[in-house]
Amino acid sequence: MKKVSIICLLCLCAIVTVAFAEDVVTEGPDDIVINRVKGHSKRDLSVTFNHSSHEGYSCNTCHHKWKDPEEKPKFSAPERSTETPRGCVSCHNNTTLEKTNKWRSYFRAMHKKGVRPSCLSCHLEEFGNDKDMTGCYESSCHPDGLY
Amino acid sequence: MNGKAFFVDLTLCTACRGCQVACKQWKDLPAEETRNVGSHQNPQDLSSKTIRLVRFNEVKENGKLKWLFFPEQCRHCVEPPCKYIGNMYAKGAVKQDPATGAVIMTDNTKGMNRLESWEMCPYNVPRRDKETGVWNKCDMCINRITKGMLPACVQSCPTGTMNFGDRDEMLALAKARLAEVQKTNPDAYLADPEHVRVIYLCDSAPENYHDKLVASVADRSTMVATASKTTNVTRRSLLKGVLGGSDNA
Repeated sequence: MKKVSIICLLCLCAIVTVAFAEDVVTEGPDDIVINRVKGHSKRDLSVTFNHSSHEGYSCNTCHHKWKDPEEKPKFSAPERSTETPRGCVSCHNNTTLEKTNKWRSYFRAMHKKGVRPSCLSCHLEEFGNDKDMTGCYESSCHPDGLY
Repeated sequence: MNGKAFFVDLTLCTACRGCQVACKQWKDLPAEETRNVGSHQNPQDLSSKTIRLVRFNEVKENGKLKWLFFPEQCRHCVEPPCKYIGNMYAKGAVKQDPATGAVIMTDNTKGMNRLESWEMCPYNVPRRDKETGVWNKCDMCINRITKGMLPACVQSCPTGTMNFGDRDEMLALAKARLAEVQKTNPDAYLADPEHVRVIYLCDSAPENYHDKLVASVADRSTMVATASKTTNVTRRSLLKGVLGGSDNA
C-alpha cells in the first residue's frame, strides 16, 4: 500500500514537472566575454559564453545555488527566490591560478572533471569525441590558443 | 616575467643524441629495456625514465627523402595547462619557478590519479611512473640554471641546435635564424613561439616531425574514455532504494 501511494505521488510530480518544463525560458545575455582568470600573459584568456546555445538545460544545472521559482520547492530549501541567478564569480571568487584544488577557484569551477556543473565535465559527457568542444588550444572555447 | 627559454634549431640537429644521454646522466635516470624496431630512435616513446627523446622520422618531400630529427622535451608553456589542471587534483603538484618560468612537477603529482597526459598537456609530454605514481618531465635543469649553468642538454649539444638564455634573447635569436633559413627554405617556421619557452625552428611540416610538435586540437587524443561519470546521489536513486532497489524502475 505504501509503495503504491509513493508511485502515485511520483506520477503526480512527473506531470507537474512536465507541465512547468514547457514554461522554462532560457533568458540571459549572449556573447558574454568571460575573462576572469588572471594568468601570466598579457593577452586575455577569455571564453565567450552564450546562454542561448545552452537552452536545453535547466538554469539550475549551472546556477546551482539559485532557487528556481518555477521549480517545485525542495524540502531542504522551501523558500522561493525571485532574484535573478548570480554569476559564477560571486562565489567562485578566486580568479588567480593558485589554489585550484579549492572550490573557490574559478578555474576549477570551469575545468574540473567529474565535479557537478563544471563546463568541461558537462562538455565531456555531451561531446566526448568532439575535439572542438572538449579540447584546450584552438577549441571552440579557446579558439586563439592560450599564451 | 620574461624568464628563460630554449631555442632549438632543428635545421642543425644531427641526432647524435648527446642531449638525451646528458639528460639521463644529470637526472640519474635508469636505462629502459628496449628492442630494435628498425629505427635509430630509442626508446619509442617518452617515459618517466626518459624525459627527453630524440625522435627520428623519414618523409618524402618533393620527391626527395628527408630524415628529420626532433629532440622532444617539455615546452615549459608560458601558461602551463599541466600546472592549472594538475593542481586541481593534487595540491601543490606542479609548480612554476617565478624567476625562470620553469614548470616543475613535484612528488605531490602522485595524487594526480584521474588524469592522462594529453588531458593536461597539449604536447602530450608528462609521463607517470607506474610504480611510484609520480609524474615526471623536464624541469629545465632548475638546479643547474639557478647556479648559472646551462641545462645538461644544451651543455652537451655539439652542433648549436640547443641554445638557452633569457627569453627575449632567445626569441630574437630565433627570429634572426628564421630569416636566414627562410632565404633557402621559405616554408620554415617557429613552432608556437608565443606559447612556450622551448622554441623549435622547423623546416618541414609539423606532422613530418611528430604529431605533437605544435599544440593543435586536431591531434588531440580523445578524452571520453577517461571522463569520470558524476557520482551524485540523485533523488531517483534514493527512491529506488525506498522502492526495494529494483534496477528496472
